[in-house]
Amino acid sequence: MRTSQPERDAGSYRDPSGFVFRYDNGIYRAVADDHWPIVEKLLNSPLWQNLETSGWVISTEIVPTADPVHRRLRDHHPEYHHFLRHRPLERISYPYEWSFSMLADAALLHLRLQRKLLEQNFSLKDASAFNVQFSNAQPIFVDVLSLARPTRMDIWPAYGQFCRMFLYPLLAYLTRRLTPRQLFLGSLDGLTAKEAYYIIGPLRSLAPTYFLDVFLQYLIEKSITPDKVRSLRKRVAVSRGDARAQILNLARLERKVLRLKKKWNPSSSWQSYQKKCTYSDDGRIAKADFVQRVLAAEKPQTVLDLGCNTGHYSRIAAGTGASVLAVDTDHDCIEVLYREASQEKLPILPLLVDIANPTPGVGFRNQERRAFLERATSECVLALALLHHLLVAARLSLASIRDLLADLTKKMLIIEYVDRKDPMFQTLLALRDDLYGDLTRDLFIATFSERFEVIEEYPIPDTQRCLYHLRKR
Amino acid sequence: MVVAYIDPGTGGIVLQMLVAAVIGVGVFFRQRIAALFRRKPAPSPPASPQRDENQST
Repeated sequence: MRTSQPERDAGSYRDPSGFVFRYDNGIYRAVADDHWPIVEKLLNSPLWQNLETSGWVISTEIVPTADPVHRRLRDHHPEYHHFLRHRPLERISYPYEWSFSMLADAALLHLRLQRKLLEQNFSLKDASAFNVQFSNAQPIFVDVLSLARPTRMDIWPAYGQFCRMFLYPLLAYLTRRLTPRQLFLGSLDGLTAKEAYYIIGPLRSLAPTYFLDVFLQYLIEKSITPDKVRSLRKRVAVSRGDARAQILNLARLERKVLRLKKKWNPSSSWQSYQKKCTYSDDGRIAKADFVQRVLAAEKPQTVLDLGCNTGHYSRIAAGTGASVLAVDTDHDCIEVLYREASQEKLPILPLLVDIANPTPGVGFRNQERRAFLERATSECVLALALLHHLLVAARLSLASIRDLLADLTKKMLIIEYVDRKDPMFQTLLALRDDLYGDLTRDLFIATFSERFEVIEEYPIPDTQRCLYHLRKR
Repeated sequence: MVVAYIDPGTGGIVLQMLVAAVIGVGVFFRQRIAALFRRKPAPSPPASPQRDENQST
């Protein structure tokens, strides 16, 4: 299939040196003439090759002028002469969907990348968490145009942004358990020094961990006047080739982020779920076998695991060769799954998403960062041990759950029917009205049959639950 | 509001300039002191590369 018109990325408009667009199922970037020399020099350098092979930056190639694609791109964008082609990523995610360690790893990538770039007199001109994506549970830097050649090397102009986007949210999580979701959805630019100061607390911000980056920075910011800012401009523009002060600062920040990362161990109530839950060992093994068998036979390329918990079934799906998007509402589950997936480099992207209240489209015109449901569609959706949560906790009707799942899947659905006699269903009902008296397997089938065709039905031994392999009509 | 005109990264830049200055002063004096001690065992070495570094700080 050929898209005749290039489709510009709605989030790519801030940087005047170029923008990203989709064309012919590829991801391209137009680069403005004045920025081209730096980009060309960088992309042809051994440093860039090095960064690409170590997986730190997105694979990027220059579209040659002789390439017929180049001529067509020129026709569409007559004001641009230079184009790059990027390796397309399976999934796009945003910092408000990441867990603590994902944000920490994206921070470390920035610091290490900046140190490497400094060796060749390049520098990151910004430090935005939105410039990082995840592939095989590894952070990867995607914005080539964030690279510049500054004159003054002893300071990193993006340090303040690094604090707002990475350091403060990490500290806010550690001190107050505020998740990136809670912090970033309110402000795409992260936390200001002032906000961080008050979240951490005036007294606590005097402690060594916070003193320099939070307290002092807030203090300075408070005392700055417009006059001082204008005189600062000249000072930043001076030429100073000695980068040692900056390297020291980067190394200090890297040690700090590593220390923060080690400091915290997830303790999710869901982690032990697999062990203490309703299943006998036979039931659990049978359930895993069913999922494994169906996925191995159908071979979906992309799988969306809703309510993934710590990712038992995401791993099974990844084992059959699928690229998996695994979502859960529990931060610690996502954290545990990310740590494991990251260590084993599994094709799993764990995200903190509440499917009953999925991430909205945010930013300029509500289009800058796309809504979760636009990014989530997959060939197969797994909805295991999910139905009772959506029915009871989220108060959704069977029909609305069916429509949601039908919209999310392109081909098939593996869903677990949970009867209201099930002990976990009863636990959810403990302090709520029981509105589910008429819920039966027959009603479930009748409702779902409107959008799906039943391929296989499999009652899980020793339980009130039943697995279904459904195909979208 | 004055605050609305000031880039949120300003504090970070000023902070780094201060830190860079402190480090610069530190390095300068450390080299001066080190140079003092080094002179004792070796009476007359020719101009060392440390001189150049002094100039850059």
